[in-house]
Amino acid sequence: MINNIVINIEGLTKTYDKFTAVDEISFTVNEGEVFALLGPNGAGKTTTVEIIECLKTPDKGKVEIFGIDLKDKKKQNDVKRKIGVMPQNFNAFDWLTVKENLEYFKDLYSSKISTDELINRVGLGEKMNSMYKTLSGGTKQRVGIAISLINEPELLFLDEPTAGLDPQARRETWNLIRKLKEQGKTIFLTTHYMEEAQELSDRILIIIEGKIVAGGSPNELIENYGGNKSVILKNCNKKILEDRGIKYETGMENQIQIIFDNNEQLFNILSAVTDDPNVEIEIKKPNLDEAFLNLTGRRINAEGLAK
Amino acid sequence: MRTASIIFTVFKGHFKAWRRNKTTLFWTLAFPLLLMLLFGGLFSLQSDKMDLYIENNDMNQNNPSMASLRIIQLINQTDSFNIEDDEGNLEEQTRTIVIPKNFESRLEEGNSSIKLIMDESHQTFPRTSSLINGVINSMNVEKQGVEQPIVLIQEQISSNDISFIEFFVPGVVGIAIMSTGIFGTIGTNTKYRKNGVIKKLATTPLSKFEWIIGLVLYHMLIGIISTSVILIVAVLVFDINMILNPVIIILIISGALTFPGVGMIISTVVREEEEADAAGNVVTFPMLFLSGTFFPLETMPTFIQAFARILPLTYLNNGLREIMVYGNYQAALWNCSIVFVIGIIAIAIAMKVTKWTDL
Ligand SMILES: Nc1ncnc2c1ncn2[C@@H]1O[C@H](COP(=O)(O)OP(=O)(O)OP(=O)(O)O)[C@@H](O)[C@H]1O
Ligand SMILES: [Mg+2]
Repeated sequence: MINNIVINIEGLTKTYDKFTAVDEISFTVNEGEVFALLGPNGAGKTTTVEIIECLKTPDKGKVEIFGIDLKDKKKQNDVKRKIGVMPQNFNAFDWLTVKENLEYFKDLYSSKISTDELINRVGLGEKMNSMYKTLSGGTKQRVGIAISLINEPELLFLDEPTAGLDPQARRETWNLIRKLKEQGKTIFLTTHYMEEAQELSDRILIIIEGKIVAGGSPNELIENYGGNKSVILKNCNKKILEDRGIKYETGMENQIQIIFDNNEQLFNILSAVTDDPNVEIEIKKPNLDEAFLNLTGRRINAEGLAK
Repeated sequence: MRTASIIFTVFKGHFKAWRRNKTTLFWTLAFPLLLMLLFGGLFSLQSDKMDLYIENNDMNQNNPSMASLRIIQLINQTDSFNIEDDEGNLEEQTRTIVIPKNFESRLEEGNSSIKLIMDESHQTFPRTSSLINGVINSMNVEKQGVEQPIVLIQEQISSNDISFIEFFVPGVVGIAIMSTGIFGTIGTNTKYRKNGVIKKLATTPLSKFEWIIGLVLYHMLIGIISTSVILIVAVLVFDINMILNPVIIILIISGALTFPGVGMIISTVVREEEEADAAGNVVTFPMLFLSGTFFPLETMPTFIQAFARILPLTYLNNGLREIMVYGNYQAALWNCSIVFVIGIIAIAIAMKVTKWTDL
């Protein structure tokens, strides 16, 4: 359905001097979903979102938000009022408190929101009157999210919202993002953490060197690019496997890897080693990490793109 | 209406940050005060004797009369004057005593006089006239029996002679406005561009024009605050008279257009925070010394004077000095309009070259 597409990108290209940072990419983002742009450093994630946020001018291609074409500079202000943005490495005013920072941005939008309520919603109650410069990285990011909500936007852009945070702070931010999704916001996330993309997103677009390599739900990506399930065995007598005609590969430190497709094959492998108490067994499921590795690795990358 | 309230938000934000940050407080308030106290103190350690030119017309065959010598001796004994009697241009003297012909003979008749030629509005006039009156009184006491033998006649001249501190204080105000304007905006803009605040602001409805105007208004306010502090301390410590007039505010406003404008233009070429101070110094350093802050421009070589004429601080300093020290509105307004025009041009260029997107 055309009316629940909030972002529509076609053939977007951005060049810095001669370097092409974003190369002919096209995608859509649907209303209410968490959409993640996943890619390594320098892939062109920030460049892409900043074009959509009206912070950068593209060289080529079409960008539509809420059906508004960004080519029309006069309409950009309408777009700005409808979106909330947390830029990468976000910072607010050092010498204003959390509450004052929120009030500042509230005034810029002439928003009617209650900053106290917003502060509590994102869990900043205790830090309300602390000077921004004295906050920890995680709290600063949280303030960034709060500020990006100040105009009650339908569409939220979070550029690497958990970069540099400790696992605890990261989890808290994730919970906050989940809560926002429940409230019906569309969230455009960029990240280079697989786990984050996998945990939060409905759809992931993998971008490398300015090009889109793959896209889909986390499960689709794992299925298509995650590779095979395998059993890793340590301290195993290879002869037992050979006797049963099981094919294996020898890895480092005498590790043995056996690829399998179904439970029957898995059972066959396990029953072969079940009598030897010294054998250590590990079962590897494909995950997004694997999929990403396969996609970014030279060999697979070339094949993937050739297809 | 919406624009006005957004500009006010920006203005308020800068002001709060300024109030809370000890570094900015130091540079806007403490630094100019220290400069003023240091140099003002150094120069006032010099002899505080006043130059006095004496024209003695009471001569007997090329020899001064006894009475005139006596009065000169008494003036000398006050220990307050450097008496000069070499031929000089009378117009150039701040204070002149004229002893008339027949001073001695008329003294006997009881209706002699001496004349003090001086500007009544001069800072040292009260002290000078009371010292001279004292001298006349003791002379009168010596001539007991004769009623009011000598009277003091005052003749008004307008004088341009001012003390170092009077000269210097308007310059300190000028320096404060210049350095806060230039260093302040370069610092603010490079910092906020580097740490992403500008980027965040650019995603809101705030336009770069509103941002720039908010910044300029903030500089006007701190210009007024630092000027007030400097003047209060100057009056309290150095006991000088400064003429306060609304033209001073117009001058501050013009300076708060010019120097933040220049700062904003520079900050478009300065990329890193570390470069910000260096770039600021390159611009402020020549102005500091060549805009008549410490020494009158007239005492400098002509090529420096020519160079000073292209520096906006020259006009700000001149304007402030004309109004504060001499009360010369016309000259002050003329200098002010030059600063104002430079300011408008600087801000227009700054608005054009400041980048808000595609950073
Ligand atoms: N203003 C700029 N001028 C020149 N090159 C730039 C500019 N901004 C980004 N680049 C280059 O474009 C490429 C993409 O940058 P971008 O910031 O979009 O990547 P990213 O995917 O967000 O990376 P990261 O994970 O590091 O944030 C990088 O190689 C970067 O060096
Ligand atoms: Mg990035």
